[in-house]
Amino acid sequence: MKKSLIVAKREYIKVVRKPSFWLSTLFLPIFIVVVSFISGYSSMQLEEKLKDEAANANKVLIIDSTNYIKPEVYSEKIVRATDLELGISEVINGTADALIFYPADIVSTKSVQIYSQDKGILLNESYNKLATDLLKQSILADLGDPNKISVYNSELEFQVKTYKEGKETNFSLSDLLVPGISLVIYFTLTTFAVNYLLLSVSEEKENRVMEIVLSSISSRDLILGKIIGLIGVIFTQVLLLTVLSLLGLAATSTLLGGQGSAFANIGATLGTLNITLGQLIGQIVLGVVFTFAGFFILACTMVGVGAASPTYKEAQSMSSIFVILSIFPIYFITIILSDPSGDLARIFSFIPFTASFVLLFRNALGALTLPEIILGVVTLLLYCIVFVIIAFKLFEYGALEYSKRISFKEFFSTFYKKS
Amino acid sequence: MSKSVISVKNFSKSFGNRKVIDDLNFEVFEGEIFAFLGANGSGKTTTIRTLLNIYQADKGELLINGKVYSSEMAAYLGYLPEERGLYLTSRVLETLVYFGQLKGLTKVEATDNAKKYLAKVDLEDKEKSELKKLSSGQQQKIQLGITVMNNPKLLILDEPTKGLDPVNRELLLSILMDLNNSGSTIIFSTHQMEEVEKIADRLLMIKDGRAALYGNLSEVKEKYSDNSIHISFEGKLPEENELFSAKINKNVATLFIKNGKTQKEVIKYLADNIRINRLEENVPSLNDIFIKVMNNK
Repeated sequence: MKKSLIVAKREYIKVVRKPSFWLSTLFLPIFIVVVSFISGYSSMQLEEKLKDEAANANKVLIIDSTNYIKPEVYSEKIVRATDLELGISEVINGTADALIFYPADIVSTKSVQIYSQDKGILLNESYNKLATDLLKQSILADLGDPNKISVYNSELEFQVKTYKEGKETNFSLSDLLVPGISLVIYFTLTTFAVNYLLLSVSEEKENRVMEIVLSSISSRDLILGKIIGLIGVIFTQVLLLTVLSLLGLAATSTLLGGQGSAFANIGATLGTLNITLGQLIGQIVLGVVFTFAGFFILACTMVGVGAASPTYKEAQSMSSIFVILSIFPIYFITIILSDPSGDLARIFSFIPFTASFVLLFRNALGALTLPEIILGVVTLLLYCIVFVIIAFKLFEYGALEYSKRISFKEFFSTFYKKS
Repeated sequence: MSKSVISVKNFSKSFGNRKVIDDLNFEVFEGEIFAFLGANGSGKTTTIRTLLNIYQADKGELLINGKVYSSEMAAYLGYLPEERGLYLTSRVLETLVYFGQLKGLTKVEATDNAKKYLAKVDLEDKEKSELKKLSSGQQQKIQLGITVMNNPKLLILDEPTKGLDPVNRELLLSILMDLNNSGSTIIFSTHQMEEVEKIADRLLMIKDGRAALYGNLSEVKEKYSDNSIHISFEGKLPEENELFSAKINKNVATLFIKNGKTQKEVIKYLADNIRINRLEENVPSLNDIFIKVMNNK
């Protein structure tokens, strides 16, 4: 174990010292911040511009064949008109900024015609809101009840209660916290860590340093050390990503003048965790088991692939098959989401490379029964044992085969032959 | 009798249908330098890897100090494989320290030993350099440093001078001699017979996976000697008599001693009958012996 820790430390420092590690780790939150800021800022600017465009209009003609528009709506700037052709020609020659035509068959067509000068694809929609507001306010005015109009215009808050098997279910966003974090860690592990592991094994083989290493440390301790080191790397990466993402959200929120309220919402959500300590511990244990079993299976696969391939390039092309397999359920995510206890979800819960992701996802949705949890854990542990045996066999057999790839025939012969 | 450090008994090993080693037996004793010889593909590397438990034997027993090798014995061992490389993007000192720690040294000991070694091979100014920035000769020195930095009691070197220039070869041999003088046992494989003659005490030559020659260097040479002597002389020398047959060229002759007769008898005869200016025993070189053994069907 002491030697494993020496290897772990080396692997950790080796990766963390690389500029590419910091680039990939910092790039994501910076990218999120920049994109959020640009997107938030652009939509704010567009909204303002659209408002300004309609508000700054000098003359907007209204032709109302529906008779829904109330006379109080008309003003110096919003002028009633009757002749469509004339109105259009006014828009064309610039004496009117826009013409809004409510046709008589609006009930069936749900369509309003707007004529304005071409001001670009986005600003051409400046009068859509005005047309909608004029119509809605006119229709609401018929209600004659300010309370009803106020309720209609307000943003409603929804308090939802759901029931399952005769009992009230108590689902809230906070239930997703632990499974959600587990999914993030799982994805980071599968996308970053396994690649580091593959690179590490391939590098030792490609650089012909493996034999010296194996004379000083057992293959078991060497692989264990690599896995521990790379888990450390991933935790550093997840921690940095979390801190930087939160800082990014806070910065975006500040820059956009309080409109990016995600940071405040996270705080509020964390402050009102609707979960007992027992449930929290249960979720953490399951999250850890599912996440690390999935990672371990993939890590063993990478060790085997790295050992069996003569170069990193060859190993990488083969490893991508397994990485894709491990995130394959994403393609079925809507089906799993809509029916987390369905056949497809159940099948993928017990296939080696997909099991962890689907079990984590179903756990997040509260769709796992106790027997399924037990079966899932046992199956994953069995897979871990099988994959570790295969990985060690491949490593022992392939690590010193510097110039050729191990064939399936050669590999399987190792199970009935001593070496 | 010296203690046996390496003991190989009835060792056999095949890869697929190809038998690489067939019932090999040998011992290496404490404090000696043992040469392990054979043509390419004769099974030297396989034997060494099996001895280090990297490969598994099909049959037989390969022991170091009476035990099957495990990585717990790494502190005792220095191993330089034939296929050797380095972590090219790592730095010199940290690489040496890493391997030192894997061999059981503390970080302080490993750092101390590494610095001493770097000073010895004139690389002390390179300790923070990336290995890929070192010349090939400098990288080879680092590989050797990894092997010897724990002052191993047993050194196993698979073609240690392969790819070395003459200067580095001499440096390596002198380091090996120093280690041997301080009590280390050394087993090495090589194709350089002059190195064997220079430093080895005993040797094993394998052919087709079997031992073809095994023993003390002088014994092996004696065995392959054609029992002749070379002289320069004054006087009259017969081309043939009961003691020898001679090939004479003016004042120089090679005398082939006849079966049952000894060198001592011949020299006595010569001393009694001619004046000897120079006398040399005709001893075959190890290179000649190697070629002879390998060509012997």
